[in-house]
Amino acid sequence: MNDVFPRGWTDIAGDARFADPGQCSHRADRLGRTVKRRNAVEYAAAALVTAVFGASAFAAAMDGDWLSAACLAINLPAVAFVVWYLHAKGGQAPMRPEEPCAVYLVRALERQRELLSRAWLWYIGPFIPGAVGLYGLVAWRVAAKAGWAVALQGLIVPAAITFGIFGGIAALNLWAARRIKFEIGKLQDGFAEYEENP
Amino acid sequence: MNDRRDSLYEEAGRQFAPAIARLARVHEADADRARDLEQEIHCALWQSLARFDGRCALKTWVYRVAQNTATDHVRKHARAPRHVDLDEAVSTTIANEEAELGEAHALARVRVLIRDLPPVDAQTILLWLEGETAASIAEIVGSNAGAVATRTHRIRERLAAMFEEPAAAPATERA
Repeated sequence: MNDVFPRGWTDIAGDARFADPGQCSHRADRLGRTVKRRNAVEYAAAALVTAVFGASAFAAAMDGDWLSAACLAINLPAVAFVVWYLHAKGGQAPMRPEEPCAVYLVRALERQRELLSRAWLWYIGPFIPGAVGLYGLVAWRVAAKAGWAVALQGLIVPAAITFGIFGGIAALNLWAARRIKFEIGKLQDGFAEYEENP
Repeated sequence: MNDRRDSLYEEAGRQFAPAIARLARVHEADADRARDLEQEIHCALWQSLARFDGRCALKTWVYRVAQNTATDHVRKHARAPRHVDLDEAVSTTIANEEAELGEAHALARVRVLIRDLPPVDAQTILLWLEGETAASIAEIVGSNAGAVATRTHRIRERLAAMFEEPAAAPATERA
């Protein structure tokens, strides 16, 4: 064959053998343990946030400060929602590598893009009411004593940091989602060209 | 169920282990990484075979799992676009024995050939190298035989031009 491709290609690695199924089972177990460890870290982080907000809300309620308690306690369902969403959406639709290659690649990327593009909503969004409530409440109380100028001056830096972090996380996720969308577009264009104008 | 999966896996191993080893070596120049990718493909296949329902041939199933797992691996490790010269690519795989040197050169050349191709084109040409027909490639990648045949021809022409060598003789066409 007068070609750009090497002769005897199919002679290469002629003695290759498949890994023993036991090794695959071991590998799957190892992956399972990694997933369990990752889940344990997520649960620990959620438990820590729950403990901090829960204890603060309880302390505020004990002092009779029901508004602060409510603003702090509103973060508890937010944590529960984020943990639930991660497990519900992160584990959904297991990948099927036996799908035709053109379908599989796009589906795998689309799944990632969807999770990332909505991160501002499911990852950041649930914590916004609690944060706005807390800052608003503190501002309102300080303003009642010292005026709005002092209240806003005191809160502007911590609020900027808090919402800056929220915005930064949202922006990073949106940026990653846009990159994946671009990659999907390139794949789809390439495949459309393959089909229509091979 | 597990017995059936194991026997399908064994059958797949008898027929396709070398092809999967070549695929892994094309995508990973480093020998250890190539072995790891090879095992990753074996294991993805072993797991997927629990779902094998016979709606497509075992060969189609095996090649789909192998190609998709390899493409995923390359994307996750973001090493796909690394541009290397043919000489550099050979030297990463080089060995002292003459036969191994020839093999390393062949692998390196294919690696250089597919490095800039979109995934579906790379999959098409690798399957063509394995001796698959246009109809078979079409079923694996999810296209039609006509498109695959034309595409294969065009890629080979482009690659021939890239290496300033004549394109393949039509007499050897398998499409």
